Amino acid sequence: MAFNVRSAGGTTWSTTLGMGFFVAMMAVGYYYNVTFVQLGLTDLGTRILGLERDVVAGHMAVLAIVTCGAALTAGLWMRRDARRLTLHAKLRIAFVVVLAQTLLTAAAALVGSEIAFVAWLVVAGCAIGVGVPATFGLTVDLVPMRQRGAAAAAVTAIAYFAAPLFSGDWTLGFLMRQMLVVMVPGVLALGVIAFVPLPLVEGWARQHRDPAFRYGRYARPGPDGVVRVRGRLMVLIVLMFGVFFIDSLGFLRLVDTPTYMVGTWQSPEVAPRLTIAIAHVIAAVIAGVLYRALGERHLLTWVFGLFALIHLSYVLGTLMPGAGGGELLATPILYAIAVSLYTVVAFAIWADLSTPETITVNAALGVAASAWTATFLSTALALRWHAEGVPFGDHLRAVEALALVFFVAMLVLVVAPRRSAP
Amino acid sequence: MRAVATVLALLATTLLMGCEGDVLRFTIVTGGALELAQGETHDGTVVLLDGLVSVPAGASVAGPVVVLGGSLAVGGVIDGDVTALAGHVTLRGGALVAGDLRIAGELDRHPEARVGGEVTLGAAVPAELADGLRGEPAGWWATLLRIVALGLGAGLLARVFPRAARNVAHAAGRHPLVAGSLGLLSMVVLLVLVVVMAFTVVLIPVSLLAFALAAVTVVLGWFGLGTALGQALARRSGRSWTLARTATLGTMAFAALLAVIERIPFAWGLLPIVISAVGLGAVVLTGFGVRRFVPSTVDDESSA
Repeated sequence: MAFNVRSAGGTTWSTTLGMGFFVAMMAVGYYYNVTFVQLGLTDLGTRILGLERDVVAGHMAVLAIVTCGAALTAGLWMRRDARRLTLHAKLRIAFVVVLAQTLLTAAAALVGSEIAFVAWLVVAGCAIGVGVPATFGLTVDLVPMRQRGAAAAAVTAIAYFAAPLFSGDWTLGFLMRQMLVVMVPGVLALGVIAFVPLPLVEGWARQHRDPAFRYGRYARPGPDGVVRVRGRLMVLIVLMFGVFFIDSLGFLRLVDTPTYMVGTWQSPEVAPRLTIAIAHVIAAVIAGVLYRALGERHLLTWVFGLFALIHLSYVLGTLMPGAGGGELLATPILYAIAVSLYTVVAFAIWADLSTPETITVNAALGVAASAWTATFLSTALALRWHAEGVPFGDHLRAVEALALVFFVAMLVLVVAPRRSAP
Repeated sequence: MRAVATVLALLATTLLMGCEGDVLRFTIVTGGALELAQGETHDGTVVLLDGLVSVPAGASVAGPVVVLGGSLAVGGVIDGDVTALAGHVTLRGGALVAGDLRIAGELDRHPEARVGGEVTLGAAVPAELADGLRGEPAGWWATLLRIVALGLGAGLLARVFPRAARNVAHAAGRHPLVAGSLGLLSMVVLLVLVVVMAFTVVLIPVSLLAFALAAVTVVLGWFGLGTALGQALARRSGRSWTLARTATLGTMAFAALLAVIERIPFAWGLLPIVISAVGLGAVVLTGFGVRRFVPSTVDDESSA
């Protein structure tokens, strides 16, 4: 089957605007997740409602599991009705989700009890979960295959550049006002794009038929015209689960340790936070370049292998307080590099394993089964260790051990025999 | 990153200072106590990770002392620098540090304790060590020597391994963004690996080997960049040079360019690092020149 994407699309203004729209939407969404959801809701639970940190973490795990369930359900439902899931339909679902999130964000200040807090989390989890397959599904309509690494890098760079610099004092009030300033005009613009007939959007709606958009990098049809990605998808889900689990388990403890946060992510000085932000951007750009240039195995080995290695280096913090503590910024900079690298892959890879018909369920499977499930399980494990009084050093050593296992798994992946092309 | 550079600087300084003839002499204290007797002289570098090192009056250490943890108590003579990134240093009355004193940890100094060199305290210490690792630009004669040596080295290598030289030059010249990205990642990997290995103590020699291998790889990358520059110069001038001549002339031009860049004040040494990353990445991308780098395409993926 002739398959040539080099001559196809990707350079028109319409396509560029579509990519810009996609990048902006995903960057704001991701910024919302890493600031308002992870920091603002923790502030709501601990400071405003006066709940124990462990209790809040438990409720956040509920958010993770509800989001996971909602994403899988929505993804499967969208897969069954894939023919009717046009760009307009995905945009309208995204509009409803963003509208719900905007209203929920505004209503967060009214939450006055633990029950209301849990109810808020459940509703928010449903909205975020439905949003995952709908928004990731837009990738095949708006971003040509060859630009997916760059788009993912842009999303990661914008979100992670802004997060350390503009998340203020991590209080609910600040984050809520900040998000509403962005989300209210955003939801209005999304409404116009989703419901008003515009030639620009009509052009975007046809793009998925172009092979440059239609087939993911790893989802090309075989000689029989069938796209087979199940094995790759499973391996990627397992790997991403490992990454998110190790990352979340390590970061949960760092967040709980004021000495690591005060001089770095929560520093009153701009310089340390700017340094972390720049490290995020550089790493995201590097990942974007390598995503397009390297083959699958080399890419995964570099990104995930470096991730594992950096987590292994956590031991420095316990052996050498001057280097591992907040003062010298070594840990947060390396951490920022590792996180940006794998986030770029996480944003691009699900679309590249999919066709327009399978993107919603693959994205839901990928994001839900790896990111949200890993977050849920790592939170539960961290809570248990915390309850059992596991010391800081032991916790990080466990993270190290897991990182080492992951590193070995990457080595196995490198030397594993390749399946010959059909 | 500065912390990593600091540790590397410490390692390099430690080992360079610990060299005596061809023999590395250094003592690493990971716990317990190293207590010298009166009149005793300890030869070589002392690295204190944890525990206690005591140099009483009348005793001496003939070499530098590096403190990364634990306690150092000096009443005698340290015939070298004392550098402490962490831990506790006590200088009693009558103590003499013949070299520089750099303390980022805790210092308890008696007014009568003497320091022969400069004293640096607090957060300035890691910065100074990192600056020391970067070093001052070499003099003009040394620079000229380096340019000639690099040019001859590149030419020789291109003559012996023409295919490898072409492959590395191709990756560096045609795909600098990819090579630079991979080179920067390789540098991060190397720094993390070296530091992690160094802190196991047992693997310090391996970390030094890794460091040496990286240095060789960077030089090979410079050869690749130089050869690519030579090819571009040859094309522009419409001449047809042999590969060895292209590599020699190109690398000499590249080395001269690098020497100029190193002297630009606002480059802060960052530009040479980025340029070196491109060369390093080209070497890694091609597996030390074994294979030609071709960016992943749809066709490549289908055969993977």
